[in-house]
Amino acid sequence: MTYGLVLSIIGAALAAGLGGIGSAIGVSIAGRAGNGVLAEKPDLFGRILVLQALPGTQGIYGFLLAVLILQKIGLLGGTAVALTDWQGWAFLGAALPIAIVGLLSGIAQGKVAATSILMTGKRPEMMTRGMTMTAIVETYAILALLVSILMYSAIAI
Amino acid sequence: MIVPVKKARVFVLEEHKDELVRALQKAELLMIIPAQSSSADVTEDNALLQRISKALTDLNRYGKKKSLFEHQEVTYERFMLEDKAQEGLLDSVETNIMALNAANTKIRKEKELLDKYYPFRDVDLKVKDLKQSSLVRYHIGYINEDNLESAIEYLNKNNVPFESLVKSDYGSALLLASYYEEDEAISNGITNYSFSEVELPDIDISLKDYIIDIENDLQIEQAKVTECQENLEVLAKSKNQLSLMYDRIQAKIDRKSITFGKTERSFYLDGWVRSDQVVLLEKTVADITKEFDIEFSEPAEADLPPTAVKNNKFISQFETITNMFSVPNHKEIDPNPAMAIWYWLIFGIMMGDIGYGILMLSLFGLGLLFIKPKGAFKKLISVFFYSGITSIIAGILFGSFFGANFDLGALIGNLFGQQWTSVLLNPVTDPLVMLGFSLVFGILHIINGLGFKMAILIKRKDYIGAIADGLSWILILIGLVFVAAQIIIWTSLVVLSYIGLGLAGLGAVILLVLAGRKSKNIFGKIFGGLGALYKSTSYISDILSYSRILALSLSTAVIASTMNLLAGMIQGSVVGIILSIFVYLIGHIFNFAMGMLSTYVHDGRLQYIEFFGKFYEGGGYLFEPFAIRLKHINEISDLREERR
Repeated sequence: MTYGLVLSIIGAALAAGLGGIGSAIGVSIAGRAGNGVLAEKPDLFGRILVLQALPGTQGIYGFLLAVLILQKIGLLGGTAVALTDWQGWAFLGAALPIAIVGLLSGIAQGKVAATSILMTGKRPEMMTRGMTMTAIVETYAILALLVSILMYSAIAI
Repeated sequence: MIVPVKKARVFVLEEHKDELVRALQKAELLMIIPAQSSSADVTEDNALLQRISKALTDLNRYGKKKSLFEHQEVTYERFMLEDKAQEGLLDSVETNIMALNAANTKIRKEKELLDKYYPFRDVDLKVKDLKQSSLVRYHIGYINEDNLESAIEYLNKNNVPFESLVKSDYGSALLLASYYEEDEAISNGITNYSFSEVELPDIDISLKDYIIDIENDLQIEQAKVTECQENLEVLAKSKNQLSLMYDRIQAKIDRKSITFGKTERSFYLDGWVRSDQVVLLEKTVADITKEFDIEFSEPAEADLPPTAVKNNKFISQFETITNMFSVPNHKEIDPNPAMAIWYWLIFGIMMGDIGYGILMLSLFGLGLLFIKPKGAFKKLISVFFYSGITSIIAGILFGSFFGANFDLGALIGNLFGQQWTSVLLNPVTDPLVMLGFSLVFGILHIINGLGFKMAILIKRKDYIGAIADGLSWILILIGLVFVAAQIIIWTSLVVLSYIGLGLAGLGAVILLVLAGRKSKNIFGKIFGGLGALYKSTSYISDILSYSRILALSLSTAVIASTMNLLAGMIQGSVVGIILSIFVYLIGHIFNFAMGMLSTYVHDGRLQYIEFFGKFYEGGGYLFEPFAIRLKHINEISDLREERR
């Protein structure tokens, strides 16, 4: 195991970890609002579940990049590549956009999802608009994932 | 396509009013505009509706619940039949429910009594005699277990005869007798030992007989409950009749709520009718009476007519996506045909897996076949069903089957001994190419939106506007695509770049010259043009937004292959292989569900913001003709046939 390999593992850990934390917090914020609405209107469960799941994607994006990194450095079913220090730093850097933006946008998206859930509680027919509002926050997580993937695929090993 | 609507005014005589409303409800042609007069009283019908609704909920507890796959169809004649049997059914359901509730209440009360007096079941003296004793007063009651000994001590000390009976939930049962002259002191004294007295019941017989009586009563009531429940189970089998009645009464209320306008001798209805159904409306009215008149007129400037959208079977399913954003207004071009195609394609690319595509086709296809959903929900399911096709196509081009590499072309090629491949592009290994493709796809989408804007402006005879706001940006965008194509794909074709730059430059010049046309002074004109050019930043962000096509197709593909990898890791032994099946199942179901959700949301967003943002106004409301609203029944069969 080389120093570079350790750094890239830290990168993968940050991507999956921070993205996951962001989504977990986001989903929990939305879920709390959801439970409040469900107490009054139990039949809205399906719609509210969909809205609650929306901030869950940041975790998936982080997970995705972590898997990609682990695959490229040979830790998923293969022999570990002896990365140089610089390659390791590069992988760590590539993981940062989705790690940081995933954490913060997941929380932010959770707040919008919560208000969308409250709106759906009052006016169920507005649910799709709430979904669109919530999805707009996610744009920046998608851009961050994109940058992460571009960086990742540019690293030669 | 948006079908223009006409305003219709139907005149009939008073005696034909009801028949007209009935025929209109059946024909579903006229969207009635309520007249300014009071409608008939429907309180009674509403009360009936509530009774049926309650009976239906009550019955749900006894019979089988209506399953998702049950499909109730009736003929129109059967639907309209005022069936006395239905009323009888409703009555007997209510009677049984009432009897059941009464019996249950009684059982609860008697059980309480039984609890209270059961420990005294061995007291074989008549209560009447107990009460009428000339020397002593009898007390019965319960005493806390912990205080029992000290209480007995107290009673013995005061020479009070007593009997300690069995223990129960309330404590130990106690029967004691005190002389009338000592009674007050004793009852006060015993209260200190937390003795809670139970009043003797007002009966002539002994407590022993009383208990037996109660037990008999309980049995009778239990029998009643069973009987009612059995009755209800039988009644629940004809629940369909009640659903039918509910929908019939609802239709009746809807008919009664129609208000007519009045002239001196006749009555009239105002409403909207699709211009292609004018003849049908005339025919429907003529079938009722010869004494009628219909006036048709174009909507006035101040009117806000409903939007009647008519598309083929494929495109009309996607209308639900547009309507969720906003219903088109009656003046604009129907965005649905173009939107449907784009939505359909983008959905497929974002899912991008043969396996998931097949799953969509079968899952939603079976849903359509067996659950037979109605309205907007049905359309949404159909959208997912159709998108299964594009998902399979994209999956073939991406070479992905449930996340595993799969080259259909190579398989077919093997049969013919050829080296073929159907995999054009693998988003996981070539994300950059996929990104370029996504952005170009986005540019085409945006150009289509701008084309719509031009068409709308031309329709309004604002030709300069069409060139300034539509054509200019189209030229710039096409120019950019040419330049990009030269740099990325055909590097040697330098001329492509020149053409592209020329087109983009032309577009920019048009913008600079025309964007400030509405300003009066020269500075306004200059800055208007520059300001318009600055809008290119918003175009850049619009185009970049399409990178989500890459992100989502990548995320479905990578997570699917991760699940395969995880399952593959544990396939060392027999137990491992069995476990790996669960990993495959759970992993792919999770990925499929999350992928569907994200794709549905983000595909919608691309339509709503990037595409509709360029031209769409919306703000209309749907043309929904007066019709029979079905809540419980699925379909009226002969009306469906007629509409074909």
